[in-house]
Order: sequence, then structure tokens, then C-alpha cells
Amino acid sequence: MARKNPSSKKKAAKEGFVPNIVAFACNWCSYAGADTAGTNRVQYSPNFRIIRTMCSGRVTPGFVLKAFKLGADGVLVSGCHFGDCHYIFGNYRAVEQFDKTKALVKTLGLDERRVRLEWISAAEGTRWGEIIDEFVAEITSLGPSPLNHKPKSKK
Amino acid sequence: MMDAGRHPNIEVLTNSELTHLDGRAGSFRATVRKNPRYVSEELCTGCGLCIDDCPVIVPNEFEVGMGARKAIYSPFPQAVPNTHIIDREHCLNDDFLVCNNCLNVCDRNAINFDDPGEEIRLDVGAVIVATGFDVYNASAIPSYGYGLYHNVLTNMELERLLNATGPTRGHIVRPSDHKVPRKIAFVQCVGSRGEGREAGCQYCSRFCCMNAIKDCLLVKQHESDIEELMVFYIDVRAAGKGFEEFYQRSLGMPELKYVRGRPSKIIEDPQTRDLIISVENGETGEVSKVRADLVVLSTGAVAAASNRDLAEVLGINLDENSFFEVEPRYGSPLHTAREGIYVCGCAAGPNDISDSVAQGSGAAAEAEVFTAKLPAEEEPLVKEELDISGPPRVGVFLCHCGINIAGVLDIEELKEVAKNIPDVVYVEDNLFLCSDEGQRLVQEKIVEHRLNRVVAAACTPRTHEPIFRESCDQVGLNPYLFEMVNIRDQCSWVHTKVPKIATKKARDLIGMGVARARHLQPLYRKTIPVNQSVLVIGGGVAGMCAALELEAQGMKVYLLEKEGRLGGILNNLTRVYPANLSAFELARTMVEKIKASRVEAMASTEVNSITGFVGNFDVSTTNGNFRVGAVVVATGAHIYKPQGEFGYGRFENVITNQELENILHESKDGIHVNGKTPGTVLFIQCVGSRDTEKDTGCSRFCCPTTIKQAIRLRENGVNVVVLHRDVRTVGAKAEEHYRHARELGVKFIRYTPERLPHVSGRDQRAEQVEIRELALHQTLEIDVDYVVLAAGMVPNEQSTAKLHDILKVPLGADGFFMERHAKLGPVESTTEGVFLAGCVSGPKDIADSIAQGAAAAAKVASLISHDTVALEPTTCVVDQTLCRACGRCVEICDYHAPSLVEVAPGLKAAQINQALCKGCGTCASWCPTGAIAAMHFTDEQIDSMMEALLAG
Amino acid sequence: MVPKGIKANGVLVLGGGITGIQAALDLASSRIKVYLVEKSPSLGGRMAQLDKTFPTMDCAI
Repeated sequence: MARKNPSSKKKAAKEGFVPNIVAFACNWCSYAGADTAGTNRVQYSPNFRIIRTMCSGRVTPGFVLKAFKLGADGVLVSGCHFGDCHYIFGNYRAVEQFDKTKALVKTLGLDERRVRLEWISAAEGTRWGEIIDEFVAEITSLGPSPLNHKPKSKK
Repeated sequence: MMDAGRHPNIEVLTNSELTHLDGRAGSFRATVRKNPRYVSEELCTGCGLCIDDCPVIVPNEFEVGMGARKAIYSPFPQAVPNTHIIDREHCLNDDFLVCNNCLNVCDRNAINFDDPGEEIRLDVGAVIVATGFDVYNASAIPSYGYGLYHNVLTNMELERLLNATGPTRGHIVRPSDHKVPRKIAFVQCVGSRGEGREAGCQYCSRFCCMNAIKDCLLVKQHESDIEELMVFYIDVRAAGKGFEEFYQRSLGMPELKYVRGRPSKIIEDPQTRDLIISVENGETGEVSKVRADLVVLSTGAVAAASNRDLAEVLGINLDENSFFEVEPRYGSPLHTAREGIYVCGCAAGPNDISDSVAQGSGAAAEAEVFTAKLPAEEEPLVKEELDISGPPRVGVFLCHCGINIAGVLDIEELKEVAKNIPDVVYVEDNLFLCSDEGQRLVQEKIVEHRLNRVVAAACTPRTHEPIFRESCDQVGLNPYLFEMVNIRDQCSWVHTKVPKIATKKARDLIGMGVARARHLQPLYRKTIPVNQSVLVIGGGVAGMCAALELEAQGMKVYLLEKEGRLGGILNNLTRVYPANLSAFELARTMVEKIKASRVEAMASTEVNSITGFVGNFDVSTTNGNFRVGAVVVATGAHIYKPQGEFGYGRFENVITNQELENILHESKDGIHVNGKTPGTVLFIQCVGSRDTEKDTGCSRFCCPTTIKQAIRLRENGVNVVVLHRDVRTVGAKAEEHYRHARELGVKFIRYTPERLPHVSGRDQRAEQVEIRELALHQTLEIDVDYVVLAAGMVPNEQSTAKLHDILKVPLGADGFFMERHAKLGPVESTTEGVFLAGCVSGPKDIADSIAQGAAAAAKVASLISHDTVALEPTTCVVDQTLCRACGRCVEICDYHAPSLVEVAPGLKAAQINQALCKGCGTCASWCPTGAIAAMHFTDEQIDSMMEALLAG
Repeated sequence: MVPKGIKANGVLVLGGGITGIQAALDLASSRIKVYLVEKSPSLGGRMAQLDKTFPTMDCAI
């Protein structure tokens, strides 16, 4: 079954590693974009779980660190394109927060590629799928997070 | 649909007809005959036991005859009301047998065979006619063999095959052998744009082109084995916002082939049941026979058969096509000749969904003028709130969404998993949770199992959360104790081919949803007063119309116009199609009405800034400041200025439609060039429109405009040639004008973007146009006196950019403002209290702009006719005991909601203005002490989701 | 023109399809009583029969 999916899956299946990825998506653009992917039946990697926030500016470094502490292998934060934020400049705040997040992630000894900030609009269903595929592939190639000590029962 | 069934001010009378109407606008007396259902709406629960026991099987009309139903039935799964109905024509009780199965099985004694129906008398101020259309009967064209050949379907039948709840559960199969067809042919304009002795109507049905394109995309999604999709068409009429882009997208589909040509005959191969289509290719002139496994006839819209009787009851006329006649005097598509009766949607002629919706709203605005309002609602009865104390008791409800979810995910597995999550006390699944029955199930179980948190795993909260919340609210469960898990749009639809992994994902998502639900807290809406005045920006036709409607309803209206006088584009037109109204007269009438009204019109005035929020906007203009409750943006668009295309700017006799309009405007009798009538005028269509590189769509109004001008020139003896890509004469009477132009001898020649016409000349004068004639395989050289470029509509970038900054309404890729919903919210913006009307959201003609102006007025009225507006409680709040008054929140909030206040002598703390706070939660994430909580998205709630996912 | 004084309490909307429903909802939320009259046994009209709508491909119901 899994092999039918995009190229990223092949490698994952070979190594037997399926990453845990948390994706924070803002309600107005990115979450809606993920819905648009659905309406357009875009098929993409299922190896991520969305947490909806009203704005990407809501995502604190604390949330991201907590995700890694609990065993996440990657965290995506996604908001509206600049100028399209439902809250005017919330996504600019998200950038500032994300810079702090990145610094902290590095301090923890994690590869900074494990966190990513993206802008995906409500119309960009296809792009949502592409970015998820790309991010899943990248995290898969990076392997399990070194903070992730728990033995995986998940398949 | 659900909302209409639930609204306390709407009384739904189904199975009913208007039988008599007298009186006049403001005081009509109507008689409505409610035909018997034989099943009581009060008693029936829609349980379906009677349906199971009914022995009679008949074809199902809803499935256009392709499925079956019983003699007692429910029209379709999400029907409102969901009361069953008995079809007495087929019921055995009306034959010699007395069956009584349904009567015996119904526990609630809801069935009454002696139901006489009811006559209801109503006093109303206005009547809105929205009775829609009938589908053209394709068997009227014998040469297409509909009804004769097995594998010839109509587009409506295909829609049902595509539907997951339809007769084939969403599979496309040939009726003859139930095999998936490999080659499907769509035949356009069946019953529309009729020519000569062919049966059918003369007009264009407007929506069939887009519908066929949509069906092609869907068919391929449903059946990936399909090898070829052919569309036989005359013109592809993708004329509407986003339609051209949609059509262009379909061109990239390798299976899809567009063939220009109307098939003359379809015959069936009796052995294979394949179909052989005879068609002359309109581009190459080649006659060919094409084989297809399945033929879909794109049947158009015809006037409803009931129109004739209804028109008589209403005392209004039908037009030559038996649609309700629109009174042309007002330039509005909504007025009938009888005051107080308005027509909208397909009752007056074919319309697509977004235009129908805008017209529906517009008609509502017109009707409001003649109707008294109900007394302001009393404080809503404080419902007894359910006791939610104690540990969380979570109920999980799983929706199948037909096969949209259940066809991919393993519902049984999900149910088992959900049952074992801590605090989950009840789990249930349902075919359609959003149906009346599904919602009732949720309500019953909340009460029965004393649920204090509800989780629905279904589609997306963006569309369906409000329905669930309201259902919770109705039984006294605070709506913010409801959580929605998206296992359709973000799961079953996007991981369709990996059902096991998708089910695993859904398990996690449900776990996360339950975890979050356990931490949800009840929240309460607050209300703020609403200012009873309105700002309309833009004094064009849409803006003036909105202003007049609002004023007629008794509101204070400020109408701003940037230019020195009102009228907008009307000031540059001579005649307005379709009724050939004088633009000058129309503008004058509207301007005079404005002057005579209490509308405060301000010319040469611009907006400086708008601050505040729904119900309370503070407006600063170059002409004074004031406060309003709502804003209508009707700033229009610009006509594209050609950038040297086809010699524009180089040759002085290459002009635009607009410039020709000015010449026609000035010359009373035809068109003169240096005192004499020109010999040949050549139009080139789609200049600045339908450009895939620039993301420009179809401007929609230029084809009818060109034809209007062409007719005027031709009538004055000018030779007229129109070079076009597709003639897109959609809209009232436009197709008829196109036909008239051809009859007058206007020549139409098609060009493609690959082979553009070439304009040559000398001494600043264009003399000749070279065009490759596709059908004749030769290049034509046409001597011309004038070349007229049909320049499309482009956004007024300067004003949209400014208003985008001021109002925060998003712009689409095409540069026009984006509506709340392309189909269902055409005049609303994403910002509460801000509405859009006319060309500011995309190209429109005068009639559509008028309808939108009225529609925006209706939307404003529904906001402003209340003294207060409820505020979302999902805002940020400060725990002042934790606040150190650092002021970070004050710095970063773009809405100026937080401020520092003195909470005790010498002690400051932050406080957030709940009316200004939009609930983005950014301050909560910046607060160094964790004093700010983003309600409904608290740290605790988000953390719990991660814990459920990762630590579980 | 109708004298301003005469105003009955309600609007009759004929047709329970998407257009009629839209008109009814707008009126109802402006505090106007609406009688929504539909000939067939259920609301929804043609749109309820469609699978998806163009160009956004939203679910028609």
C-alpha cells in the first residue's frame, strides 16, 4: 500500500522509518489550503498531523520544543503569504518567533532542517501537498530525531 | 439548505403552491395550497422503517430515474424536511389491494391516508419568484437518440452517477453493460442555441460549458481508466470569475480533447452498444465519424412548465421563451412589471450559481422595502444549560459522508479506537452527520448520555462547525465544548489510495481531537451595539444601487465618489444591452433618485482611513469623518489600456470598444470618419483578457458589447468583421443579439492565440488585417477603416491596493477582491461588516452589477437591522495577576486591542478590548509570563493534542 | 408608488432552490418573516442533485 505513494515513501519503507511530523496550520490560509488539497483530491504523503491555530503568530517556540521533547521528528509551521495575513502582520510575528525557535532547536543539538516555516494560501492545495511531500522526504532522510528515545511501536 | 430549515423567521411550506394572489405591493394577500404528504411533519422522525416495509418499487426522480425508491420515501438523504412522503400514484392502497404496511409499522402514527392538505392564507408585503428552470427534454432531438440508445445520458444523469450517494455509488458505468467506459463524448448545446429547424431554444443556457468541463475533471478522478474525453462544442463559454482559469486547467488534461463542431447525428452500434457520432469539425471542415462508449448530452435550461400558471396567478408576463419577464426600465434583472414582485435566479432565464445567489440576495433587498420588520428580538430565552461539571464525558460521532469517508477509512476500527480513549463514554457513526437526522442523533445522545464534550470526526470545521455548534447550543450544551476532527478533506480525500495508513492517521486525529475536547471550556458571546449607518465607496452603478436600496430601508447612507460626479462607467456608455436602454438616462435616473433621497452623496471624496470593527467603523475621508456600522466597496474596475497590441497607439484608427463608444456617443446618426461613414470596421476580441501568462480571466462583457456596437454599425451600412476566440454571449438576450448580428451580415471569424491577427498600415493608419481562416485553410487580407479592440476589464490597482490596506480584504491572483465564497458568498468579504458589489470583485455587466448592489444592500440590512452584534468569544484574555505590565502585547497588536491600565494604585496590568481583539493569539505567544490566554486555543489545549499524538 | 404606511409582515418566496433559500435567509436575518413555498416535497432544488460545483469543486449540498 505504502509503496504507491510518492517517492519519499519508498526510502521510508526501506529504512522502516516513518517520521512523526507535527504541522501547525493557520486557520485562514494554510488549513484552508489543506482543505483545498482535499477538494481537488491532491494525493500526498499521510505522514504528518495538523494542529490548527488561528494564526501562525500563535505558534510559540515552546510548542515546537514541546513537540520535539515528546518525540516529533519534524515540525512545520505554516501561515498566510505576506500581505495576506487575516490579522495583518501575524505572519511577520511568526517569522520572529520562528527565528527564536530555530536558535533553540540548534541549541538542543537538532538539525535545523527539522523545523520549517512555509506560506501556503487557501488556494494552494497542490502546493500544500508538494510541501508536505518534500518535508516528509527531508525528515525521512534525516532519520529519527536524536531526542526521540522511545521505541517506536507505530508503523 | 439546513439553515433555511432551522431559521425561526422562515416557515418552510413544501409540497405547496401559490394558487391565488391579490392586493398590491406592501399588502398582498396570498393563498397557498399545501398538498397532502400523507405523513405528518410533526410526528415523522424520518426513521425509515416504513420505507423498508413498503413493497412498491418505482424509479427515483431525484436520481433522474436511474435509481429506485419506494412508494413511501424521502427524496434524498439530506432532505429538508426529512419527513417521508407517500406517492399516491404508486401506493398500493390506491389500487385494489389495501397494503397498509407503512401504517402498521409506524410507531408514531404519523401516517394518515385521509390527509386533505391545507389552504393557507398569508398577508405579505412582497413576493419573490425563484422557481428555477426545467431541464431540456433531450428526447426532443431524435437524431441524438436519447431514450432510444442505452448509452446516451444527459448531464443531470451523469451528475448522479458521479455522486457518492447516487445510484452507482460514484462509479461511472455504461447503462448497457455496467462497464467503465473508456471513451466518453460530451455534446454541448443540446436544446440550447438552436439553429434552423433543429429543436430547442435559441438562447444560451450559460452553465453547461462549465458543467461539462467540471464533469470531465470529475469523471477522470472517479475512473482513472478513462482514456479519452471529447467535448463537442460551438464556443467554450467560460465567462465568469475563475471560469477561464478553470478551462485553461482542463486544457492540460491529456485525455481531454475539445472538438469544435455540433454533431449532426448519433447512432448506436447494435452489437457493442457503442455510439457513432457524425460531426463536421468546425475548424478543419472535415466530416468524421467518432466512436464513443458513452455519450453525455449537455442539456440546457428551459422555462419551468409551471411558469404559465404561476404567471397568471401573479399577474405578470412571460417572455418569448416562457421565462418570467423582467421589466427593462430599471436596468435591473430583478424587477417584474408588477410592483412588489421580484424575480431572481433561473426563473427569469439561465444563470449560474453565483449570479443566482447574488440575485436572490438582491431580490431580498427589494422585497424588504415593502415589508415591515418583526419586532427586535427579545433577549434570547436563557436556555437551561446542561450541567457540565465533573470529569469530561466525551461523545465521539463519526460521519461516513456517504462514501467520501467510509469508502476509504475503516469506520469500525475508528469506532473501536475511539471507545478506548480515556473519558470517551459514547461512540456512534452515521451516514451523514450533517443531515437533520444526524444532528438530531447528536442532540439526543448529548442528553441521553450526559455528554459534556462532543467530538465529530467528519469534514472540515471551516464549513460545518457552525451547524454542530448550533445543534449543541439548542440542547443547552455550550457550543465551544464541541470539537471537529477533519478526516475527510485532510484525510480520506487526500490519502485515498492508502486506506490503512489513512485510517491510522484518522485514529491519531481523533485521539488529538478528544484530548483537546477534554480541555475545552465553555465560552459566552458578548454583544456590542451596531451603528445604523452605512458607507458605500464608489458612486458607479453598483454603489448607487446599494445606496438607494439601503436608504429605502431607512438607513443613513454615505456615498463616496472619487470623481467629480456620480455615474461611474455609465457616463462613458451610450446604450446598455440587452434592452438598449440609454446609459445616459439610466445614469440620470439613478443620480436624480440619489439627489432626491436622504443619501449623503459626496463627490470628489476619498477615504483616508477606516478603523474599528463590525458595527462600529470610524471613517475618515477627505470630506469629513463619521461612524458607520458597515462598509460596501463598489469602486469598480478599469478598462484595460492596450499596450501596443495590434498597432494600438501606433495607428490612430486602432481604438478600443470604449473609444468607439465615445464616438458613437457623440455622433447621433451612425459613425463618421471625417464626415463619411467608414467602409469596414474590424473588431478583435479578448484584448487583455484570457491571458494565461497574466492570470487574466474572461472579462465577460466584451463579447456582448462588441455585438451591440457591431449591430449599430451594421444598421448604418458599415461592413463589420469580428475576430474572436469564442463568442461568449452569455446573459439575458445576448445570444439572440449574436444571432441578429449574423443575420444582419456581421462576419465572425475565429482566431487562436497561437495565430494572432496581424494589423498593418502606414502613416499612422491601419489599412489591412491579416488573419488565418481556420476552416478555409487560407489567409485572409481584410482592408479596414477602423480596428476596434475589445479591451477587457482589469482591476483598478491603485484603489484596490489602498482599500486592501485599509480594510484587510484579500486580493485574488487576478488582482480583484476575493469574495467570502465564490459561489455562495459573492458579495461578502472575509472581513466582517465589509461587503463587495460590482466589478471590484471581477468583471461584470451593468445588470449583474445592479443585482450585486442590491445584494450587498440585503447583506448590510441583515447586519444593521439588529441593534447589536454578537462578538466571537474566541479572543485573548489577560490574567492580570500574572501580568508584569511589560507592554509587549501592546506593541505587537495591529488592532490596538491590548492596553495597559491601572489595576490598583501604582500597579499596571494589560487589558484586552474584546471588541477589538480578533483572536489571532499572537499576543499570547509573545507574553513572557504566560498571562495571556488565547481562548479556545490555549497552551493547554494545544499541548494536549501533541501529547495525545506523540506520547500516546 | 405605494404609500409608506402599508407594509405587511412578511415576504412570500416561491421556490426552495439555492436562489430562493438565499433570498429567504437574507430576509429572515433582517428580521422579516418569510414563507418559503416549494412545490416539491423537499428544499434544495437542482443544486442538491449536483455532485460538485465549478470552479471551486465544493460539495453542492
